[in-house]
Amino acid sequence: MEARSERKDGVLIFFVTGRLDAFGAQQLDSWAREALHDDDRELVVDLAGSPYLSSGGIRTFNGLKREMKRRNGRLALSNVGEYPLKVLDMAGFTTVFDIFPTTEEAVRDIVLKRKNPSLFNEIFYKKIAAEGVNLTIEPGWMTTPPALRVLGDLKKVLYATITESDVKTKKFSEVNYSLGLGALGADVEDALPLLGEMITLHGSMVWLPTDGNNTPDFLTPLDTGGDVPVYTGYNITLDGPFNEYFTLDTENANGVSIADIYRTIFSSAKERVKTYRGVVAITIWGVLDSLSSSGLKKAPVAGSTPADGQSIMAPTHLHEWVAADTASSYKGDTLVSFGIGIDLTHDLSGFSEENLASIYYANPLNKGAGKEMYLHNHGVVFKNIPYDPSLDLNTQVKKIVSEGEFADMRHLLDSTRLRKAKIGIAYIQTITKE
Amino acid sequence: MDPPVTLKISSDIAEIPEVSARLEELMEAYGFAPEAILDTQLAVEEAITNIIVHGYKRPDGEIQITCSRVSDAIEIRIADSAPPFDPLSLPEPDLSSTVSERRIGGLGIYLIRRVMDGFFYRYEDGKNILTLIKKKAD
Repeated sequence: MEARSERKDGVLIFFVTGRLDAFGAQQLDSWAREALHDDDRELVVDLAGSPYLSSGGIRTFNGLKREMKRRNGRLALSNVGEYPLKVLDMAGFTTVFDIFPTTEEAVRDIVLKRKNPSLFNEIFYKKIAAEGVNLTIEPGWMTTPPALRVLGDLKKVLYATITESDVKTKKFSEVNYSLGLGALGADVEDALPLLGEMITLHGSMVWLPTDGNNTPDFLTPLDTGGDVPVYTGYNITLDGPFNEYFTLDTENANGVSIADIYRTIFSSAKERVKTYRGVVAITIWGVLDSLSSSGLKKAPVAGSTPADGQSIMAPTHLHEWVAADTASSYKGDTLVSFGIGIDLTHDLSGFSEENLASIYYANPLNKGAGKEMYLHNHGVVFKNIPYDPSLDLNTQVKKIVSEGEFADMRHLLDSTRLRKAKIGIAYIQTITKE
Repeated sequence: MDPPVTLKISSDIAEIPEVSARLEELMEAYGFAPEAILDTQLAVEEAITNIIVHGYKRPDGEIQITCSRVSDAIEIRIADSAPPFDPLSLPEPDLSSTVSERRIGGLGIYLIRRVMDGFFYRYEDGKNILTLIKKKAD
């Protein structure tokens, strides 16, 4: 059995070659798991190259049908050969599966019968289409002005001068969205050398211990049966609601970058949002085209301080301190991220310089955005989460972190690319120190 | 009269492509039509899969397949040493069901009945023995 995939008009097509006996079906099963991306909803299995089918193949089709149903989508079979059709007919499955003479007809029927966005959505939500990116803007909440609460000092992270007295314990079970530097441990002495990139999403904490293993650790309050204190040397927490939700998709074959997403948010906020002050905090739930990431290799603590007094981000130190991974990976998997963005072209005088400095540094690995913006985002990768932007973002993030198949956690570079995304945006009004 | 051809395989579904290839070779030589060959491959595969999944439940069992030409038909004997199990005792699947997520259990045996001209089971000398018969023409 051999198979390849292709996407046409948003429909995934599997071209299967070879016999679908029990063995071939098993191969198709495991191949399909990888080939199905989290934003695929509709699937056509083209059987032109498959002259034989047994109950094993039928079982695989049934599994795929169930999976597409879970995604509120459809499965169709096309170009079914004479003998496979005889088997489907004998087994009574010609009425169970949608069968089309050709793949073109299957795709046409799927596109035609696709559920369109609700009329409400069509009429009331603002739509923007530019440079191959389609955006729908949905209002969020204006109940309280969103604020960033900052714990610690970014300079101590950058110059690797964190000491035990800078490390605080913090309970995250009540925190919805935060990012920073953290560790778990028996006590502060234990945690200090492990301080690494961290993110909290609806009470769950994911962190990348700087223990040399480059393997993230995922912790939900449910796992531990209680509220475990996290040692943190630096943390930015969002207080308050998202003011708007963007639903974004694109015709660009390789998606849009995180920098593009922030650029779009900044330029549209400048035109429309009265409360926009140049700083936003956003949560993204999206489907990855490629993940570009970096991560601290060791804890930025006193004792490891660079001798020349330069930042760990200085070109001479960067390699020693930061592992960059720009290999394209996790294509088609789900990303949930939290981060902040500062629009450097905007008047930022609404914030004090000291408060701004507590959340802002220039990472030389961030190339895409140049000098126009400063971004800091951490993201968690999950697998096999059907993407459906009609769902509520916060509810969905909560569900993903408690039920999803966890794959990875990284500090995101701005060149990370997404194919589709639902984004919650908080227009930050104040920055306070904790 | 051709002598019987015997094939020994382990209880592993990865063996199925090889069994199908050998059957095709043999039946072409016996002068069977392509559809009769496909039907026989289907029946033998379903029988073997059943033995692997419900009989041995592990890949280290042995299955012996013996093919004999009997006048205008082929007779295939499939023997295994898994616990006694008569597949003919399985109830027929409910094909009238319009439920989209239909259970597939028993489907393999049902397909064997549909495509073969004879299907027999006996338990002898500690072995399950299935005999499948396919005629050259209906």
